[in-house]
This record gives sequence, C-alpha cells and structure tokens, in this order.
Amino acid sequence: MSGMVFNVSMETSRIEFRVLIRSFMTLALSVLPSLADDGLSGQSWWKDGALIYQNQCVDCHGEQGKGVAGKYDETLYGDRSLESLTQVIIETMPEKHPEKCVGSEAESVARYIFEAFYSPEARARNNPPRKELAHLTSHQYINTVADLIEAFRPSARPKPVHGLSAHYYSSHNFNGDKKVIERDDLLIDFQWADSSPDEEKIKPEEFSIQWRGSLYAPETGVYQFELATENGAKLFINDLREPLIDSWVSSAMLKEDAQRIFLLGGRYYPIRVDYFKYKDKSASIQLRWVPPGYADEVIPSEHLYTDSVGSTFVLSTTFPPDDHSMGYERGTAVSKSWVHATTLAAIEVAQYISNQIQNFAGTNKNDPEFRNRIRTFLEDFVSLAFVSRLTESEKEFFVHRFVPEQWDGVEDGVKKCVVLALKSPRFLYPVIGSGASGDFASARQLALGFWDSLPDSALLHAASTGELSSLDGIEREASRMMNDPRTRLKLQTFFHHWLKMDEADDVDKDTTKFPDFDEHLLSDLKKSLQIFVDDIVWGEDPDYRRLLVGNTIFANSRLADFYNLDRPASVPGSEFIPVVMAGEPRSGILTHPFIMTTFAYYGSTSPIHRGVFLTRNILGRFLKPPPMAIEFMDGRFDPHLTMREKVTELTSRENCMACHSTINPLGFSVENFDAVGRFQTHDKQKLIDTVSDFLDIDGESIRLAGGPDVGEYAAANRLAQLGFIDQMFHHLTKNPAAAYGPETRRQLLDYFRANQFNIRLLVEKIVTTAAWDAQNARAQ
Amino acid sequence: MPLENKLKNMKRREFLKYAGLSTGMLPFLSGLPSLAESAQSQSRPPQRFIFMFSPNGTIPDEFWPDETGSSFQLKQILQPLSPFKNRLMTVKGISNKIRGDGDGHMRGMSCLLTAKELFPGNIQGGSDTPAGWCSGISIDQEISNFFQSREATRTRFGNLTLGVAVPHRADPWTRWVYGGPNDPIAPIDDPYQLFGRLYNQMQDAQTTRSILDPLKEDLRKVARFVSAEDRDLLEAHARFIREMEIEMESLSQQQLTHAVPDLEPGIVLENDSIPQVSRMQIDLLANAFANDMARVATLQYTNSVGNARMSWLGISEGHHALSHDPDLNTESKDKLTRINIWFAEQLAMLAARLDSIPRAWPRWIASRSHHHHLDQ
Repeated sequence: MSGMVFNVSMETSRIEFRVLIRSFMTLALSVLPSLADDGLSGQSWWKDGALIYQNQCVDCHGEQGKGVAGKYDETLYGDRSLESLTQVIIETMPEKHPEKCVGSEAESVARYIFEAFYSPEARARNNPPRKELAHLTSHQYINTVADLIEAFRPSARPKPVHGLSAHYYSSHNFNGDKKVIERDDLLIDFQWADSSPDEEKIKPEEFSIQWRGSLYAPETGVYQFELATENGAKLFINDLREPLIDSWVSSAMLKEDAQRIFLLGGRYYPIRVDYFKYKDKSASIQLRWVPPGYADEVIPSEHLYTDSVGSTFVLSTTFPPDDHSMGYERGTAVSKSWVHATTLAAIEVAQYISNQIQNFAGTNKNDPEFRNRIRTFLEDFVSLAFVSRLTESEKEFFVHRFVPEQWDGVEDGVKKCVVLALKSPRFLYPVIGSGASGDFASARQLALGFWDSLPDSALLHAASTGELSSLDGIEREASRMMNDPRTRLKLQTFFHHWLKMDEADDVDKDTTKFPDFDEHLLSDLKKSLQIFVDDIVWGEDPDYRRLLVGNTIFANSRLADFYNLDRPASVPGSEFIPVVMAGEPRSGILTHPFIMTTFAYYGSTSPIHRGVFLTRNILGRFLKPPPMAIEFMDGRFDPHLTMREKVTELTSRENCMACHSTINPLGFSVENFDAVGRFQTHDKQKLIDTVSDFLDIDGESIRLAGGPDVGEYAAANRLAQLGFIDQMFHHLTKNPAAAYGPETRRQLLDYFRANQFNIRLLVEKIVTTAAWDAQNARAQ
Repeated sequence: MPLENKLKNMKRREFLKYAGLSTGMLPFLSGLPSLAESAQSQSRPPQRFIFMFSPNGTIPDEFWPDETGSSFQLKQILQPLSPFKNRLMTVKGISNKIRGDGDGHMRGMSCLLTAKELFPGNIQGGSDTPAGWCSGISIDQEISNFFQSREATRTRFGNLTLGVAVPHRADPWTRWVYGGPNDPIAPIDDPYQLFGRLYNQMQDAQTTRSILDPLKEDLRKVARFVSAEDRDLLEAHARFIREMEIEMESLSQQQLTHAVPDLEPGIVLENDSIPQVSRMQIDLLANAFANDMARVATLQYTNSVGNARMSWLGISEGHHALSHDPDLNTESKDKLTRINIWFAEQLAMLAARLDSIPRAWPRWIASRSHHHHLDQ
C-alpha cells in the first residue's frame, strides 16, 4: 500500500491526524513566502535531501514530485506538516523497504520534499499566484455593453414608490375625455367578474386601463412573464413600442400568455400594461412572473415602481460558459466559440447604434456639422469602451477612417467602427484597454469589482481629475459605488454561490413523504434565506458572524404553516417577517431549512453533503477529492439502521476517515433536520444523536452537540473567516488574494476583525485593494 | 355535368380532391396531392405557392372571362396578365361559407386561408357580434409545414409572410395567416426589415471582413503590452481570428444563385409610397425564391376594408369607401376598375419576375379577393 502513502491517510493514529490538521492550519495562516526560495537550496539539508530523493524516490515520484506514469502518477503535494510527512517516510518509504530511509536521512529528504514542492508554500513559491490576463466574462460583457449604451442616453432611477401608476377609462379605447380614475395599484391582480372596477364611474360593459411604471429585476437571467385575462391586454417590458405579450384579441375564454425575456439584474426596466374590456361576459387581469430560480407568483409590489424609466440595452447574443475551474468565473480562456460570440455581439451592438445614430450623435443628414458630430460621438464611444483616452493616432485608427463624407455612408461607417472597437482586445481585455496602472486602471478595477461593468460618469470624472491617485479618493468612490443596486446584485450572486443557492433548481423531494413540499415552498425557502442574508448584509449591523447564529427565520404564511411556526395572523400572508423557531436548535444559515433541503437526498437527510458544505464553504477547510468514488445506496443497508449509523459504516475505512473524521461530526450535528429542513427528534424510532467530537485544526477535540455549537465555533474560527474573505475576494476581483501580495490575506483578516466583521466594509476594502494596486502597479 | 357547373356546387374540400385527381386540373393544383412525388424528382423544378390578397372585392363584369376552357378573353382588369394568359387559370365559384362570430370583413380576412370560424371575442366589427382570432391553421402554413418536414423540400425560411401597407395593429382585419388556432402571424411590410431578415447574415459578414485587417494590426500592437505569460492567450485569440477569416473567405465564395437585390434607400412607409414598396417587396420575394430560401409565400396588400388612397392613379378617395358606393355610380366603378387593374399589374410584375428565374416557375394561378361588395 505504500504507493498510496502521500495521497491518502495511512495507518494514522488520531494523534497523527491531529498533527496533520494542525499543520494545515499553520500553513494556511502563515504569510505566503516571498517568491524567491530565500537561499533554501544552499542549505545542507536541501543538498542532502535532494540527493536522497534522486536515489530513492525519483523512480516512482518523478522530478519535483510530478509523478511517473505506471508507478505513482499523482503529483506529490498536500497539507501535512513536516513532522507528519517525516513520520510517513520513516514508516513506509521507500516502498517495501522502509528501513532504508530513517532517522536523519528521512528528516532531510522530508524537509527537502516539503520545501521544494510538497507544501502549499512551496507550491505558491514555484507557481506564484498572479493576476492573469483575462477578458470580460460573459456576465461582465453584457453589463458593459448595457452601460456603454446607457452612458449616451442616461436614465434616472425611479422614486421609491412601489406599485404602478394606473389610468382608468370608462370606454374601451382609452379616450382621454373618458379618463375617470387616476391612482396607484400595488399589483395587477384583479377579478372583476361581471362588475366593473368602480361601480359609480365605470359601467361593466366596457372599460380600459393603462398601467405604467418600472420593474426592478433582482437577478440576471431569463424571466417568464405571464398575462392572464379573458379580455384584451398587452404587456410591454423594456421596449415600449413592441409588446412582449400581445393578448389584445380575446377568445371568450381565459387566456394565459407567457413570454420569456432575458433581463440584467440590479436594473430597472420600463413596464406598461394596456387593458380593455368590451362586451366580454366577465373581466379579470393578472400579471405574474417566474423570476430565474424561483416559482411563479403575481409580480410583487416591491419590484414595481410608479415612476417610469428609460430602456436598457440587453444583448441577445449568448456566450459560451466562462472558465470555472478555480471555483469562480474568469475570462482566462479563449475558444473559437467565444471569438465567434464576440463577433455576433459586436454586430448586434453596432446594428443597434447605427439604427439610431441620429439620436446617439444628435445629428441628421441636413446638419452641416454631421461629420463632426458623428466623429465626436464615436470618439466618446470608443474611448469609454476602452476606458482610456484615445491618442490622435488611435482616433484616426479606430474612428476617423470610418466617418464618411456623405450621409449615405454613415450607418455603414458607424457599424464598422463599433464592430472594430468591440472586437478589439482593448475592449475585451480591460487591463489592455485602460492599461495596467494609473487612474483609469483604478477606475476600471472599481467598476469591475462592484458592478462587473464600466465606470459611470462620476467615476470617470474622479479618474480624469486625479482623485483616484490617493487612497482616500479611491475609498470615497468605493463607498459611493457600494450603494448602487448593481453592487447589491453582485453581493447577492456571491451569497448564491457561497451557499449554493443556485443549485436549488435540481431539488426534488419525495412527495409521498413530504406531500406539501412543492416548487412554491422551495421558492419561498430560497427567498426566506435571501431575505435573511440581505437583512444582515444591508442592515445596521452587517456582522458576518450574525449569519451563522440564531434561530430566527423569515417566513410568509406558507412557510409558517409548513414548519409549524408561530406567525402572527394579522400580518398579510405573503409578507416575509422574522419568526423565532422556538425550541429548535437552529443556527442562522447553517440550519436554514433551505440549506438543509438542498443538502439532503430525495427522501432522507445527507450528513455527508451537509458535512462537506460546512467543512468547505463555512469552515474554509481544504478537502481533497475522495480517493475513490463511493455511492451512498440506501437500499444496501440494514433497514433498521439510522442515517448516522449508515454513514458511519460507509466511511469507516481509514482512507475515508482522513476527511470524514471532519465531515461526519459536522453533518451529524444537524441530523435533527429532515430532508426538507423540519425539526425531527427520531430516526427509525431511535432518538437522534447529534453529539460528536470534532477535531479542531489545532488538534483539540471539540464536542459539537448540534447546529448552534457549529455556528458558534465557525463564527469565532480564523480559518472560517479567512475562507469567507478568500471566496469574497475571488468573487469580486476574479483573482486570488495572494496575487495582490503575500500580506493581503492577513491584512484583510486583521481589517475584518478590527471592524466587527462588517461585510460591507470588507467588500469595500477588497475592491479598494484591487483598485489601489492598479494605481500603484507602475511603481512595482 | 360540365366541369364548371359541377365545381359550382362543390364544397371546398371536395373541389380540391376532385381537382387534384383530374388530369385537366393538374397544372393548377399540382401542389397538393402530388407534392411528395415531385419532391423526390430532382429534375423537376421546385414547387412553390404564393397567395396574394387585395381588399374590397372587384368589379365582376370587368374581371371574370365570359368563356370557360382554354380559349378565353381577358377582361379589362386582368389585361395586365395577358403575357401569361396561356398559363393562367381563373377559378370562379369557390365559396368560403364561414359563419360564426365576427362580421363579414373580419371573417373574410381571417378565415380566407383557414376555412375555420373565428373564436368569440372582444373585437367589434361594423355589425354582428364581437369576435377573436381564427380557430385554425391557414393553408399556406399547412403546405409550408409539409415542405419543411421533408429533407428534399426544406428551405431556410419555409415560408414568407409579406405585406404592403398593412396597418400597424393586430386584429382579425389585418391577419390572414395563422400558424394554428389563436396564432395569427404578422406580415412583414417593411422592405428594409425583410431585406435584413433575408440577407443580414451576409451583410454582417461583409462588415466583419472589412475590419479584420485593422483588428489583426491592433492585436499585434497590444501584444507588446502584455507579459510573456499572458501572450499565449492573445496568440490563441489571434489564431481564432485568422480561422474566422478563412471561414468567411470560403463562405463568401459560395455565391448566391441570384445576387442580393439593390434596394432603393430611404423609402418612407406611407400611403403614397405603396407602389415603390410593392415593387421592392416583389423584388425581394422573387429573389428569395430564386435563392430557394422559401417555397411558400403570402403577399397581403393593406388589410380587410383596406382604405389605401391611390393617388398615383389620380384617385383621392379611399379604396374601401369607394367599394361601398352604389353599383350604379359609374365614376366609382371606373375608379374601382382602375384600382383592380393596378393590383393585376402587381401580380403581373410578380409573375414576370418569377418567370425570369431559370427553371423555376412553371405554373401559377391568380386567386381572387374574398370581398365582393359589387357582386351581390
């Protein structure tokens, strides 16, 4: 079995395992080493160790531990401490002849292996993290072109008045002189049957209504809109000329028309509904939607505003998925299909602009100054696309050559100019366009960090007046940008990713065991968790630790019924209000029924899924992939066994326990929440045992009796805090923190702790770090 | 029984069946029962269908030939079709006896190609009960679906639903093509939009090709700014651009059988530009057929009760208003005759354009508008 030694936990005693975990902790917290080997290779143990490695190890493990096909083909790396590694070598290496390498020889070779390539520090040193050249991710691309176009036709945000503004007419054709009511409606959900909206002012036989306002899209994705009426109605979204749903002609039956439209989240869209009734037997109208990842519902008033706004350009070209190999999306790979998509997208934008060039450039064919105006517009457009000031020769290259003498060639010229600009690497790779350093580079980092998009005019102004050349200036912009709804979207996506909320679409539960659990309940659960997180993140005390503790849940009446909660009946059923889950060992997000539901099987809990989630995502621990794939097959076990007993049996092998000694206690601690997150006390008629001893990273044994113990432990745990910072850093900057210098992680952790774990301040600090780095890149 | 008498008393489906089986009628109806057979025969030209609609009926005396059979005289209105007389058949007596909700104007349009009633609904016609959309598929879509279901007859678009001066509103007066019950299909009546639909991909390819040289130059320039480690990514990017260029090059060499037509720029869609728009739509339709982009089309002039003012014929009244003038008003009758001659000219122009396509257009028919105010 010696070949397996470095990969899989061997005949470890508990004590060894403790050492191993402790060493990982030390490594994770240690400052990443400087990039040179600091003269390590000149040390005598290095020379001795290298020689021993060449003589006894290299045949199987290859140069630099890279492995040898057919012998030991896995790369040699891990998170054992030097002591543990030494011990393994003494006891098991070389294969079949462990006695050949003991004592000081074993110590030398272990130290050499550890320092040369095995340890995380060595790997970081050999392959230092850096800011790789990256193109816009597809999400960044669509946001960027939307803002690129919006920059030339700014649109105000709506006043915070919810609902839609409605005009009621006593005729079927919106006659101005028949307008009888003006009011705001919170929802479009009316059942008038054979009567009218207002018995005094409107006869039931014919009437018409127009609703106007704007709609807030909380997430990016495909929205389905549903218009149900037995009368005539049209729905306009984002485009007020062409209806998304045209249900104008009735057919004496209830029609339910549905259309899908892709919307960018964190933005407002103009919406209008025209409706009329004429001689139909009854009247009703209902406007519903299916937001991405949720169930259908009447569009709630909190997403509607009575003010109207301008349209947003939403690209329809789809991009291939971005590289996700590091656990977050990055534009570090190009492919033929990506290049093709960038061509189609450039053409789509170019067509849109050239069609409306008169509006964008503020000119027309009779304007003697039309050439100048077109040229100025295009220069501004290209300059904003690149986030850079164009030199005279760049203006000539990207713009002037396409501006024709005659008006007839304008559309064609504009198209070519826009296609060239959007196909240029200066647009596609932000760091090329704005340069790696300077004011514009900082502005670009801020805009990508907060919004995944372009700087707005205030930020560009700050960049061009030198305000971003001080850290103060960058921080000022950062706090301003923090309050934009697009930042809200960016953080929301972080939490979706961190808490695996986007995987909820695959959730499927046994309807015989959980008859009331349906897509609406699941959707409510997701919303409940979202509100819980938002309430903390955007509330007065955005303390990260508050996410992990407490037994409050946000519940509407459907959730209250299902989870048997004491929710005041006086509050409207659709409202999500905080309710205490009294008497249940809940602990913030960790035991939120949505999390318990997604990390569970069809009909039963899954301590392994829950444990892995808690280990990796919440405690920030490193887990290697399992050494062998083992499927959990419920039917294979003695049917009298509890879930805990089954999992214990399944993972009892030593090579499993290397990781499962961490995973299982965490998973077992929340075993009293069933597959849909309800509190349960018994499994197979036996009292559920949630108590385990969990080995801390420092080798300390910690008794976890349930969810609250895990939550308290996580809230105070440095590695968990660092894990949160790391994942947030990836999400915001698309780079590892270490790429911004070896001290960055520790500095951020210190800052996080010094500021009561304030999530919003952490976010600002991370983006500021990246922007300040761009400001100073030249000096480095 | 003489054929024409027999036809008079037939129901539409029986008529089609009879006609399809009859040798004498084959030139007319070759499209229906024998489609599959012809699809297999590569040597025969493709079979195609065009349905053309003009509103407000006709002047029967000036439209219908007096004779039946192969030797007949074209009356005034059909005179423009004389170059095609030996390939022309006028079919009288098809009666679409659709009843149900909606007034005759709505039914006349929305049921013309569907032979199905309108659903009850909320759209009020001039009289009768309000109605909704039609309850069935139109025959052009049925034929197109059939063509598209077979490899040998499948085309990029299958069918084209075109219009000239169709009002910008969707109701049973403006739609005669239906994909199915409650599924009206809007005609494209903007030639520029139609052009985009047919040829945009090629235009876009041209635009893209024209900027490839500066793009490659730009990629070379910026490669200087990136580190050696990052250069691989840009090189891969540049390689894909070159591949794209090669593909576009070879694509551009696959010429269309018939060149992309030149459209007169800047025609505004308004009443007085109807003749230009009609010509442009006919050019685009013939060109699309020549390039085998579709094999079925509908061409709809205005709408049911369409009220075009044909100022180019010196007529200032609206078409529909004229059609309601008493039959005895000879001035109105004369104007309506001239209007219908103009429609026949459009059909003749379409026929001539199609006829000029090599090996393409052996047979076609003139159909008749549904709306017979002067026919009563």
